[in-house]
Amino acid sequence: MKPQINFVVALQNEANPLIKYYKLKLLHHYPFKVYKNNNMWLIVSKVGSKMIKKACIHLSEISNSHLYTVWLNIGTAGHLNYPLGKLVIGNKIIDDYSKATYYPSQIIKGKLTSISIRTLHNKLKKYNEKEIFDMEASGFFYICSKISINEFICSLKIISDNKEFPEFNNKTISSLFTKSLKDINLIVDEFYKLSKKQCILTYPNDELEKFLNKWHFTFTQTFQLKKNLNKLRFLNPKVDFFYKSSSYKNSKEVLNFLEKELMKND
Amino acid sequence: MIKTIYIEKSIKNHPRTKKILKKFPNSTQILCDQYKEIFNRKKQNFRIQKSSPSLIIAKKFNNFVLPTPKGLGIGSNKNYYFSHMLNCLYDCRYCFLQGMYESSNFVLFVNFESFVKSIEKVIKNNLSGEKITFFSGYDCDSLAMESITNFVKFFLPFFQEKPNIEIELRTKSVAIKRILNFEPFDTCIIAFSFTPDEIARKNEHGVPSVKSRIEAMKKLSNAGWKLGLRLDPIIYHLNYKYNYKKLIDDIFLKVPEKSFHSISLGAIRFPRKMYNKISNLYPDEKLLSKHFVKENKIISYPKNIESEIVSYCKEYLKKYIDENKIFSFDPYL
Repeated sequence: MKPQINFVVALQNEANPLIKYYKLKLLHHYPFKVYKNNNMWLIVSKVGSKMIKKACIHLSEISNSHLYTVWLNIGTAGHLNYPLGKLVIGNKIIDDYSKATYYPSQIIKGKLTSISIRTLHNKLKKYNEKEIFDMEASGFFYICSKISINEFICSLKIISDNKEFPEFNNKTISSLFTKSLKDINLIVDEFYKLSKKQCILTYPNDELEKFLNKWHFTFTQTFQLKKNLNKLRFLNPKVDFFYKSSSYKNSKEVLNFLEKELMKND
Repeated sequence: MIKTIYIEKSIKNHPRTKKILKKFPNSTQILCDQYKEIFNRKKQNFRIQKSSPSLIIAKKFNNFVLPTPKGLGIGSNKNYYFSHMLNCLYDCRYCFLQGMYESSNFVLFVNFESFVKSIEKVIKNNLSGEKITFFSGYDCDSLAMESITNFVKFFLPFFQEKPNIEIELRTKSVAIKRILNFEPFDTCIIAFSFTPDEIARKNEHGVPSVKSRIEAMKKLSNAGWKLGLRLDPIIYHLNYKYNYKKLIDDIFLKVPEKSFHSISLGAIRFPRKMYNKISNLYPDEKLLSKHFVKENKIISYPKNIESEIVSYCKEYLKKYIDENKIFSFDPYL
């Protein structure tokens, strides 16, 4: 398991500054445009809650995302009086239609203003001071909270319209995003570190495969094997337990051996 | 300190809520309908949250006072516990709370008066007049967050008026200033939990040192308060005999025997599901990699080890204190 960042953005103009900054390469056009560079992925979902749900599912499948994949929705939002270009982080997401509510973790928020996001399905009628308005965050959270854990899902929004400038201007979006890239990257860095920290705690699949290829383990035994190997690698990081197990005839003997090794640490 | 505070809408104007929020003017404050929306949701990580827990201010609606699990007690016939908070300021690797809750955020129930009503009801229903002990500090630390909760300030005067009812405040905190402002009364037991210094340093993160806890006990003893000593959980390790002997010696060197209401002890053990959850959260933690055994859905040391360590500590304690004051805990009987 490796640390991974999955960006989800609605518009190509929002994606372009991120693609350039993180040197992402186009992977495919259909059904969504997907870009990639090592362990960073970006999908352009198009506007709306329905589209972002589909895009998240697609990206989850093709990127082999795991429990500790970071899901970052970066988009635009409107507010009564926040200045254009201000970068904020969501602390509560309300779907204006279904009233479903999500509470993103606030463990990583840097120095950003944290605010409630109301996801609209129709055009905004009236701004208010307590929340910002977007069209994707609730759909994004609906899917991501099923495939990742809360501490790895985040919605960052850049103010694109307010009472003074109510018209959303697609042409200025790229420049607003570009100005926020440094702050966005600080958040991305923090999340990446956290993802890495959690991935280290998970037993590497390729190591487990070695055992599974040599002996037949039942489902329950596999669970036990993984758990014991994971404990042992922290207790005795220099020992090659696959090598030490190699003379055993079957899975039962291997598990007994590992249990004894754990006992030695008492 | 606390950066994010969730507040249930129904108690946003409660005087206790307002007082707490005043203490955190720079925090992000988020309104919610029910604390469970944040606290109970699946797919959150206790370990990650523990690095910067949020506070959730809530109102409790039921189950204010519950009977303690069988096997838990310090001499009374009837034992109940109540929790004004869920989760603890400290981060002890052996703590069952890690496996009990989905979240390590702190939940504080501000409707203290409802707890009092339920406690009164339990007392009133005790028609046979059996001895009752109420315990605080199972789902949280009773004193650690006093500066925020004002729990002691509210509940001590209440129990002071109940001369036949015992209250145990269990803690690892040295925040005893508030208690020292009160007149001591014999039915209030300030119970301190300990593991030996070597174990505490490795496993009790953010907890005041063993030395400072003993000092706090000494101050309370000097002021006339009744104390409890809780060797719970007892941890088996290479030098356990030396370490537990030293811990017990250090405590009784500073605190006179007469100050102790009771001493209780029990070896580490978890329900199986709880253990699995905790050991998955902390695969890198040596304490949880020890070879526990499973019996009747309980994970514990093998019986011989368990009885060896409990007997050893019990025997050594007898050097200082009457056997009648020593209780063995087995919370999963």
